[in-house]
Amino acid sequence: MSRTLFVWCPDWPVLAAELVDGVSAHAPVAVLHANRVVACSPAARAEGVRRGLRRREAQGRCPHLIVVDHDPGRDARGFEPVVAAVEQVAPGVEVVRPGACALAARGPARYFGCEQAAAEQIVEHVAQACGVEAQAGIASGAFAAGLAARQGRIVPPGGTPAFLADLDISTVDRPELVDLLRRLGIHTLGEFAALPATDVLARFGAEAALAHRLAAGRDERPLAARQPPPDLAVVEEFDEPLERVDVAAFAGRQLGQRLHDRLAGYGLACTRLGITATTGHGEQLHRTWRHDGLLSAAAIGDRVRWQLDGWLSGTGRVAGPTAGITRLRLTPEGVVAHAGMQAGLWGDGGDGWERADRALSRIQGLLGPEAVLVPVPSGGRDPGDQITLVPWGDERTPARPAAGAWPGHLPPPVPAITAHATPVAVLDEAGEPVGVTARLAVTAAPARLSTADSRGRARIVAWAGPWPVEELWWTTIPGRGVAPDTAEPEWSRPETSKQRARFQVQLEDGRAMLLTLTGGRWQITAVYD
Amino acid sequence: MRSTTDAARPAGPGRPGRIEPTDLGRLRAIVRDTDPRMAVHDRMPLLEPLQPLLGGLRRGAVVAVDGDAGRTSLAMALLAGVSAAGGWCGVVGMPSWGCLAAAGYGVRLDRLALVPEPGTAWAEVVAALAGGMDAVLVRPPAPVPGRLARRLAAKARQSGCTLLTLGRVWEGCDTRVSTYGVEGVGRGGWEGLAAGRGRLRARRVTVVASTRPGIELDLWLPGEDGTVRDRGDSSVSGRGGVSALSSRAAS
Repeated sequence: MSRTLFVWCPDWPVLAAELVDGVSAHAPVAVLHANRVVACSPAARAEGVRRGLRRREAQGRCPHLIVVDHDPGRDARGFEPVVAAVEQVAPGVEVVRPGACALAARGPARYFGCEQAAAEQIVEHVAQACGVEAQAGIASGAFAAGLAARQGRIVPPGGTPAFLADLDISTVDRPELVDLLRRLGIHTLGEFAALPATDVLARFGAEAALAHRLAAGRDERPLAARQPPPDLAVVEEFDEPLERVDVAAFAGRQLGQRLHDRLAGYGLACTRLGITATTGHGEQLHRTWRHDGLLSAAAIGDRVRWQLDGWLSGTGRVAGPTAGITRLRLTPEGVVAHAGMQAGLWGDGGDGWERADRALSRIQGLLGPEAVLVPVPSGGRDPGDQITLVPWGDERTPARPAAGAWPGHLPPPVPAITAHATPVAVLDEAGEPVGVTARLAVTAAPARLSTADSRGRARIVAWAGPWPVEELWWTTIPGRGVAPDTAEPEWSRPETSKQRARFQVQLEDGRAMLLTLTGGRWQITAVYD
Repeated sequence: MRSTTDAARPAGPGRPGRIEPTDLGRLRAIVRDTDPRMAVHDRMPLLEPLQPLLGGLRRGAVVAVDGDAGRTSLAMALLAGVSAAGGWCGVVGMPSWGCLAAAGYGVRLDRLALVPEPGTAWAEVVAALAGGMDAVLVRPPAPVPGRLARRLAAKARQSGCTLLTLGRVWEGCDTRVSTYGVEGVGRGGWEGLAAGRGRLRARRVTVVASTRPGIELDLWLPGEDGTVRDRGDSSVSGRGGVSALSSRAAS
């Protein structure tokens, strides 16, 4: 049974309305929910307004009553600064409900000397930090401590059952049970607690058994303390805005080292890094970098440099910033426990890996991180889809899962040249374009291939197909809507391109290639070289 | 161990401390065999069907790969030997290089890095990659002038990286490997495809190397399973490539 310090702000919904919406809590104010008063200010209470009154009744007793709608979100929002203020004095605060929070009393009591001093300190600090009048109470268990806080009392250790014994039964806050117990002649918590626990459970059920535990001064559960997460991000402000890439890169490297040191201090390492740069004009660029291993200090520095390089020089689609960088923030987004860099079991990450990493990182520095790619096997039906290229150093995750059957994929051998997409024309013997009907028959045997480049026309000596694929048919392409249900096959209509028909052809000059007909257009998609 | 020490004794009893120049090669061999760090083999292995052609890829050499049928496949097969021996491979300037086909020949994808579009900086990229890779395949965007070729070759020799170049654009290479299609259905050596039916199954090619003019290798490149295979009636080796293939086709 732990000693619990309970901080309670009386009439919190009224105070929250004052803090958030600016309704003066000194005037007669009532907060209403479903036409009933849920809280009122002391001034209203002096006029006779009580909890549970109807609106008209309350306004009848106090004609100049200010009525505010109940808003649990406002209550919670307003309470957050109070929790933060309590947390500044003592860690491990648990919010019970807006307006009340509890914490273990042992730590602050030892720190401030005694429980009395701890409670005073916390109330004082909340008053200074938020301007909110709070009351604190200490007892064994959150329930008893909450009741103690209403009286502003500190119940001595071991005195909790005696403290609870004289209190009215209605404090257990279970109206039906209270009503029943009253009719049975039980009016105080002490009388309720005197009943045998097994009989209470058998007669009134689990909910009453819980209330019985509370009334006897035992807690329903131990406090789940909220531990503030350590702030791992590092920030650097620059008095002189950084305009040049090399200066920014130097600052980034130092910041990277600081982040790495801070993480190492917690025994952590990061796998994803968020870099946020803010310029003098308030523009902000954020990008997250992933990594397949753990980011070392140098790797963090490199990524900062790449990002700033790309941004400051304004290459690519995004325009450059209009002012120099004044603020740089590194946030570790994926953090793992770090127990030293692990070498791969089969010798990966050994000597060869380090040599390769140095060379490849150098090229990334020269051309940008996207210039060096590594292939990852992934799933797909065309040879180009079966490989995902990811930048060196990034997580090797395929775009589509490699596992699975992928029916309709091309039979081996695999073409040596993929991702071609050269438009061509395929003609029959008479020089007419070749198409494919809805029943997957070619309109004529392909006889000639006509390309735009210097090789010009070539005779087709052998061919096979069509091998149809229809992928992602369940998605609608924006602006096109659902394709009308016509007999015309989709691969001859230019507006949709979810259906593809593939052909293998062999040309007179010995070349073999894979042609794709999609949306009425022929393309060379791969070459068997 | 004892015999090694005896062999390593540099000079006879009559001339203490002098090493004859003729002993140097023998000494090097001994050191290389005893110290694993010194075991830098100057040749990287090739896939077995290609072995008679070159005997191995010499580190620091420039090998030009060309021909009218399957030069990309041949380059993949050459890299596969390096990769199978645990080496790292780089590919520069080939945006449509089919990694899946390369994996089929035996290139390990976790030890492969691509620089698809180096642009005008391709020579710097090749020089940087040569310092970290065991083999680099490059397709230069234009014919390479002799001076640049010599500079890159020197860089490759210095770092022990084999440079493979695609096409007839490199002046002064050490070895030229060429592949030609054997007459099949058409001129490319492909088998399996007919007018309106079948599919591409395998390709017969003849591969020659400029360093061994007498040898013509007859290969399936690719074979029906996507790897390199002897055709069996090769002028050098006679393993049952064809029978293996036909049995696969039957099953």
